[in-house]
Amino acid sequence: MKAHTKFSTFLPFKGITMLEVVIVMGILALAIIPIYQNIFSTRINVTRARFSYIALHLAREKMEELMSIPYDELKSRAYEKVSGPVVSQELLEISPRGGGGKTNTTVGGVFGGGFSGGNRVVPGSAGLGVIDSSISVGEGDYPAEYQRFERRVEVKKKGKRFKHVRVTIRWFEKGANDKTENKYMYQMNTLIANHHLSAYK
Amino acid sequence: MKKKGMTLVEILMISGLLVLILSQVISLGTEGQYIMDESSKMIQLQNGIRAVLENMVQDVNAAVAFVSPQNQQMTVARYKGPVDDDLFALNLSTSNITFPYYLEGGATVVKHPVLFVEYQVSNPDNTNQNSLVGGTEGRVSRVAKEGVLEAFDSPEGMPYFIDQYNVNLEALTLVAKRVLAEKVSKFQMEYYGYNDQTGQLMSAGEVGTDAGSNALIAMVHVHIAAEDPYERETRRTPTMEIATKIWSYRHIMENKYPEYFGHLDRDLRF
Repeated sequence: MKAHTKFSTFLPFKGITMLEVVIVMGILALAIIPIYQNIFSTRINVTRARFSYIALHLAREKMEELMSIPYDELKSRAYEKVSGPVVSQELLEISPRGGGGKTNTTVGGVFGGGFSGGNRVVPGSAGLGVIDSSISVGEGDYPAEYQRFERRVEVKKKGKRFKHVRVTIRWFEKGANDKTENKYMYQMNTLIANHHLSAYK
Repeated sequence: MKKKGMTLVEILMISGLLVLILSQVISLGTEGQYIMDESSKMIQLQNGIRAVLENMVQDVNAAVAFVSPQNQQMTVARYKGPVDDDLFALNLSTSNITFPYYLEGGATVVKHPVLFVEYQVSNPDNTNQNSLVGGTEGRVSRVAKEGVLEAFDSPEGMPYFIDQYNVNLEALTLVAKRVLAEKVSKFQMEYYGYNDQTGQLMSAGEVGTDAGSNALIAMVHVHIAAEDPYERETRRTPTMEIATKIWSYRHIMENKYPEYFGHLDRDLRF
């Protein structure tokens, strides 16, 4: 017994109180928060990279589409939700000339027109307010997720035969708040020239 | 000793708190592992789709012609360099002086050195696959071959206008073959061309269903999706899906300015 008493006198601490334990646990719990945030920020960044890449292609395809239509048809358009057919009816109705075109050219090879088969990967709803699950998405349409995106075209005349075209894509990651914040945007600018000889006069 | 240590109640409370915190830590660790795994899969899918589309955009933008356009396979001939003058097969006949037209009944041929680029998804159900990169289902590969695209004037069409292309499949040299993406669940293409008379864009089916309509194709609508599902159905499937249009600049310019571009390229009188 004597030896035990002697040993206990060498202990630097007398034990820990309940309060101390609770404080330590609180600190431990707080330390978990940044770890948790770090993990979730990875998911957010990957998702954001995905949206940015979709936005890039939405801007590029619009730019190519604008390059393909007649110079006089280049007009500004306010933000429009990206949904419906990828090749719009409007695009199919534009006619650059009224007839008397080129001669036919042929390429040898197998030809397969139309669109068939394939399975849908993204269902109609992702459970977010920005995606309207009631809108039906068919073959040849933009996927449902594209409803997050809106596209705007600004056209300004530059000199006698150029137009400055700016395509802006914005998207909503969480919901309506993003809309007011204008947080996520992608812009592409170019000049489109009128190559008709009359434009040089 | 002034302190008596902890009572049983205190120990029980601390143990309870410890269990609570530890369970949260373990749950966070598991959740974190799921998220990291899911993110890693997503990045892989994104990289694959990105590789396919970046290459396709470059190839289609620079396309001279769409050769063998199919719904799950596309081959384009893209410019490799300027037209090589040595590759002109001109009419040198003295007896048949319909220069530069026919050489003993054969047409004058302009030979474009081009790169034939083929995209396709490997699919065991598709029996019409020419790709050199195949095997695993859901792989999208790009195969590039050097060759010559022969452009000439057919006897049937308008005189002096190039209106036919031909490819000698036997004389192609393999340049590169690569698998660009894996786990592709959807790779569909729909083609659009310009009406030769009105310049109006229309689906390839409306332009014509014969082989001769291929040359009018100007744009491809690509729908590509990749997914990497988990065995446990409760977990969210990492998915990447893109639908976009890609245009051939040559066809855009020819259609918009036929009086300059199309005729200069194709009119053999110049």
